[in-house]
Amino acid sequence: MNWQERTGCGNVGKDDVGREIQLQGWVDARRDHGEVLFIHLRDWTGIVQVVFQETESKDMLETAQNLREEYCIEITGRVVARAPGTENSSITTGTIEVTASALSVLNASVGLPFHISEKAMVAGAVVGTPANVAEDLRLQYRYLDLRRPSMQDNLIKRHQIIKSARKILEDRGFIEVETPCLTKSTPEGARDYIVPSRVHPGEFYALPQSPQLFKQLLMVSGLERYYQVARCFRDEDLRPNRQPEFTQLDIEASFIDESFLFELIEEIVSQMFAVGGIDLLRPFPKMCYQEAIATTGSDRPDLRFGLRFVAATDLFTNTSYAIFKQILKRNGCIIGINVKGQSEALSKNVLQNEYAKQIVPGFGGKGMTWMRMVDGKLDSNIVQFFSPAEQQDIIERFECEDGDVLMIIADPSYALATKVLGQLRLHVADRLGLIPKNTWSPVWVTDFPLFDPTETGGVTSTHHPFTAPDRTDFDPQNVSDLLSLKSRAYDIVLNGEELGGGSIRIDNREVQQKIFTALGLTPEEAAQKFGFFLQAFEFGPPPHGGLALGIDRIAAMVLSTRSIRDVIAFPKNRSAFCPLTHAPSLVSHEQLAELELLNLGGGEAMPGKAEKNLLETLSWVSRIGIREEEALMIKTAVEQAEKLATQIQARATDEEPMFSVIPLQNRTRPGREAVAHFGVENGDLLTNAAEVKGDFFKVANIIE
Amino acid sequence: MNDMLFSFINSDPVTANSDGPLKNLLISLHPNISVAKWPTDAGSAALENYRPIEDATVVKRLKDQGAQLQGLTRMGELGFGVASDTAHLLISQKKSDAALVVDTMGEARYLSALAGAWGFKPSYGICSRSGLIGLVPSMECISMICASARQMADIFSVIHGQDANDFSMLWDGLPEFDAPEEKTGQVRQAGIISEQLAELDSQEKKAFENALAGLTQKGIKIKECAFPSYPLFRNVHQIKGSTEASSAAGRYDSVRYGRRAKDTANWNDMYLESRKEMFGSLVKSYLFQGAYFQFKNYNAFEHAARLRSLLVKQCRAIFKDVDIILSPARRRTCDALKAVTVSDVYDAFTLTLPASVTGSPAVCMPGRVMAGDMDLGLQVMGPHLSDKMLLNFAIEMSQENTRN
Repeated sequence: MNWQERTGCGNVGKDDVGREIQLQGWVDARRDHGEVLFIHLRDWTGIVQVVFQETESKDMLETAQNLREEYCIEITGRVVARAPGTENSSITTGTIEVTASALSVLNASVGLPFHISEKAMVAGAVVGTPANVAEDLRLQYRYLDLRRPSMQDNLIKRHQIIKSARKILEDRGFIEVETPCLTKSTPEGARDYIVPSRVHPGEFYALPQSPQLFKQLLMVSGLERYYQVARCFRDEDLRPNRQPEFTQLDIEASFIDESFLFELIEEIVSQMFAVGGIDLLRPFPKMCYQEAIATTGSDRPDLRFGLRFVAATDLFTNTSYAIFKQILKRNGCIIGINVKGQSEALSKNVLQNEYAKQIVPGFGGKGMTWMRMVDGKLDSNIVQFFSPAEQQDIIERFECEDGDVLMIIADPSYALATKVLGQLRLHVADRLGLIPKNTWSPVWVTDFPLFDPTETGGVTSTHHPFTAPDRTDFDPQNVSDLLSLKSRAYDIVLNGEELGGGSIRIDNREVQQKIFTALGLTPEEAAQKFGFFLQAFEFGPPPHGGLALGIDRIAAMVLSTRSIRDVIAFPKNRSAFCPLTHAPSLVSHEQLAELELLNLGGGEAMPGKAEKNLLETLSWVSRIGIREEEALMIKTAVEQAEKLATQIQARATDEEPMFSVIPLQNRTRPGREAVAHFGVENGDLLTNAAEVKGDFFKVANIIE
Repeated sequence: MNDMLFSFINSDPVTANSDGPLKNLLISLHPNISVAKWPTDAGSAALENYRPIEDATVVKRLKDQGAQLQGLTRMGELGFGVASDTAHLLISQKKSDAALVVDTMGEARYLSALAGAWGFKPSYGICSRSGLIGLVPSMECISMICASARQMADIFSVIHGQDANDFSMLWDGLPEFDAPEEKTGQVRQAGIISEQLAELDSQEKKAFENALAGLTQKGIKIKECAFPSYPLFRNVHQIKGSTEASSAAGRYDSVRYGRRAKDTANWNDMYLESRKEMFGSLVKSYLFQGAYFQFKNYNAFEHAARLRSLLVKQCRAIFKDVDIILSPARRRTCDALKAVTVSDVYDAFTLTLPASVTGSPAVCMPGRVMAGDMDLGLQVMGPHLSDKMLLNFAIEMSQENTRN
C-alpha cells in the first residue's frame, strides 16, 4: 500500500490543479453517462468527484462501470478545474474534479441495507438522511451508518470535546487515573449490573455506577488532582434517551472549595461548547435550589425564557372561592404564571378542555384555574367567585395587561403545586414557541437540601451520604433539623438539562457517622456497607470535592443531535439492546454451570428467578393475554408444541436451514429508491388507527 | 345476493377496462387480500374496521384486465383454518366464477374439492403477495378456486409475475406464463407416495385407485415412490408456520389498526389486553405454539428449517423420475370446517402440506377421487415453477371431462 503518496479526498483543492494524485476511499455515489462515468469518492476527509473516460482507457471505464456504492477503491488521476456551470456547491471540493488514469478495486461491497451517501452529485438533488432509515437497521449495520459524513463528524467532534477538557485539566496539573470496572456495589441509588465470578463461585462483582468511592480514596492517597473519562453503568428502567452505560468526565481535587470547581468547570464546559461554535457567557449565574423551585418548579431550571412563577397565596386569605378556600385551610399554596399576550393562542376551549381537563391532570395536578385579561378585566369561567378587590389584587400581582393569560395551580402540597406548574411552564413555552433558538442559559444550582423526607418519617440523602452539609452542629435524631440542612452540592444546568453535578465531600469521621445515624444506619451496618471506605477516613483525609459531567449528553447538546445515540459509536437501542451484536443474549448451559449459577441456592429455584409458568412467560413475551376460558386449550397447544420439538430433534440432519424456498434477495432492488409512502404524505396511514393525536398514533403511557 | 356468503358486497363491480381479457368474469376475494377502502379484516378483530389505503398488486392486475370484483367472502381468522369460509359455497352455488383465496396449508385445494371445482396453488414466489394480509410469509400463496380450468389459467396469467413491492418473490428466472396452450402429452409419468397411501383408509384408497385407473387409460404411467421423510411434513409445517405466525402477528398491536382494549394502564398493558381481546382462541393457540419456538426453543425452529431443506431436496429427487405427484386433496373423515383445535386443523390438511412446505405448485381436479358422493379432489403436484405444465394439464383433463 502506497500510503505515503495518498491524498485525502476532502483535501484536494484549486491549488492542486494539474497535479497527479492518488486517492483511496469508498464510492459514495455514481452517475453513468456511457462514455464517461462520474463517481463521488469519499474518505474521512471529505468527498471529491472522479471522472472515468473512455478516452483515458477503455478497460478502466469498463471496470468503473461495474463499481457500485461503497466499493473500496484506489485511483490515480489528475486534478482539473471544473468547467464553469458544472461546479457542485454541496461538496467542499466542488470546483475541481479528478480525471482518473488508473483504477483498482480494493474490495467490492454487497448491496446496502440503506443508502449512505449524503451529498448530491448535482446541485439541488435530494439525498437521504439518517432520519429516513429505521434506527434499529442503522444500529444493526452501525459500521455502515458510521460511514456517513454526518455521523463521522459527530464522533470527531465528540473526540474534540473530550480533548478540550483533557487539555484544560492537564494544564492545571490534573492527572488521569483509571479506576476498576469490576468492583463492589456503590451507593448511587440505581441498580447495579453484576458480573459473576468463576473463581469465587456464587459471588459477584458490580460494574461501577460511578467511580465515586475510588476517586475519594485517591484524595485520601494524596493524588490531589484527579480526573478520568470514566465509563459508568446503571441498570435503570428504559427511557428514550438513556443508555445502560454512559461516559462521564469525573473530577476530584483536594484542598479546594466550591469557587475552585466553579471556575474550572465553567472553563471546561465553555471550551466543550466552543467545539460546536457555541459561546457561553461567563461567569455562569448561580441560583439556589429554593429559588429554582419557587420560580420555575424545577431544580433544572430552563432560563432561556420568562414565565417565572408568581406566588399568590396571600391574595386569597379571605376568599369565598370554595376550591381555594379549602386548599388554604390545608396550608396549601396558590401559584401561577402570566403568559403575556397569548390570549389568542390560548382560547377558552384550549385552556378549559385541553389544559385544565387533560394536560394538567396528566402532570399529576388536580386542576388548573385560568383567567384571561380582556378590556382591562379578568375573564374566566370562575371570575365571578372573586371579589372586585381580589380581582384587582390579581391584576396587580401578576402585572396583567390586555391579552395576558393567567394559569394558576392551587394545591395543599407546595412540592406538587410547583412541580405541576413547572411542567406546565415548559409545555406552554414549547407550544407557543416562547423558547428562543440558539440561546444558551447555563446556571449553577446550589444549596440543595441535604436530605429528603421519606414516607416513613425518616430522611434519605438527596445526593449521596458523602456530601458535606452546610453546618455540622445538627442533631442526627431531629428530623426537622435534618430537613433544614443544606448540602454543599451543586449541579450545572444548561437550558433545563443537567450537565453534571458534584459536591464538597465530608472529610471528618464524626460528621460522617452523624450522617449515617441520621439515615438510620447503625455503626455496624455502615461498616458492613462502606467499611473499607470509612476506614480510609481514619487516616487523615484532606478536605476535597469534585464533580462529574455527562459527556454523552453534552456532546448531543453541542452537536444538536436528535438523540444521544448519535454521539455514541456503538449505542444500545431504546430497549437497551444492541441490534449489531445482539447483546444481551443467552449464554450456554456450560458457561452457567462453570460459573456455578445453575445450582445457586442448592435444589431451590435460582434466587430472584422464581420458575415462572411457561404459559405466563409466553403470554408476557408475546404480549398476548389469555382469557380464562381458553387457558386449557392454549396449554394443550403449547404442550403439543413441546412434543413436536422433541419429535423432530430425533431426526438429525446437517442441511443448511431453509427459511424460504426462494433464496433471500437484496433488500435494495436495482432502480428502486426509498420514497415516503403516499399514506404518510396525505395522512391516510392514520385513518385506521384506534386513536390519533395530530399527526401521531396515540398509545397508552409508555412510562407510568 | 345472499350476504351470509359475503362479508362485503361491492355495489359497482364493473371496472374501467371492461374490454380486458377477464371481462365479465365474476371474482370474489378472501378478506385478507387488500382492496382499497373495502373492509378487509381477514376475519379478525385484529383488523376490525380496517380499510386498506391501496389495492393489493393482484387486485390491481385483475381490475386492469376487466374482472368484476364482487366482494369479500368470509374466512377463518387470519387465514388459519377454514371453519367460517364461504369461498367454496360461492363457487358451488355458481355465484362467482372464481374466488381468490390464500393457501397456506392447502386451503384452496381443500375448498375446491368441497366445491367440486378446480383449485390451484401456484409455485411460491411467482405471484405477488404485496397487499396480502398474511400469517405465514414463507408458505402462503394467493391461490384460487374456479369453476373452469381454462378460466383458472386465464386468471393466473393476469395476476402472476414480478412485482417490485414484494421482496420475497423470485427475482431472476421468473418463468413466463402468458396464456394457456393447447398442448397435450406433457405429463407422462405420475408418482404416488407409498407413505401417503399407507395413511388412507380403505374407501379413500379405493376412490384414489379409481382415479389412477382413469389416468392410466390416458396413457399416464403410475409409479410408486418411497419418501421415508414424508411424516416430517406436518411437524416442519407446524413448527415453521406457527413461529412465522407468532412473528408476523406482532404487527397487530392495536396502534395503527385493529381493536384497542379500553382503559389500559400503560403500553405493555395495552398490548396484553388488546391482543387478548383481538385474537380468537384457535389462532391464539397457534400463536402460542409459535411463541414457544420463537422465545423458548429456537433450536427446534432452526432444526425444522434444516429439515425443510432436506424435504425440498428429497422432493426434488422424486421429481427427477416423475412429472407429477398425485394424491387425494383431502381426507374423508377429517372435516376442516368443524376443526376447533390446531391439531384438528392439521389433521384435515395432512395431504396438502407437502406442496406448501416445498413451495411447489398444485392443482386440485374435481370429480375424479369420489368416495361415494364425496369428492376428495385429485391433487396434482408438480416441481417448483412447473405451473405452466400443471395448468395445461388441468385444461387437457377438463376437456376430457366434458367429452365424457
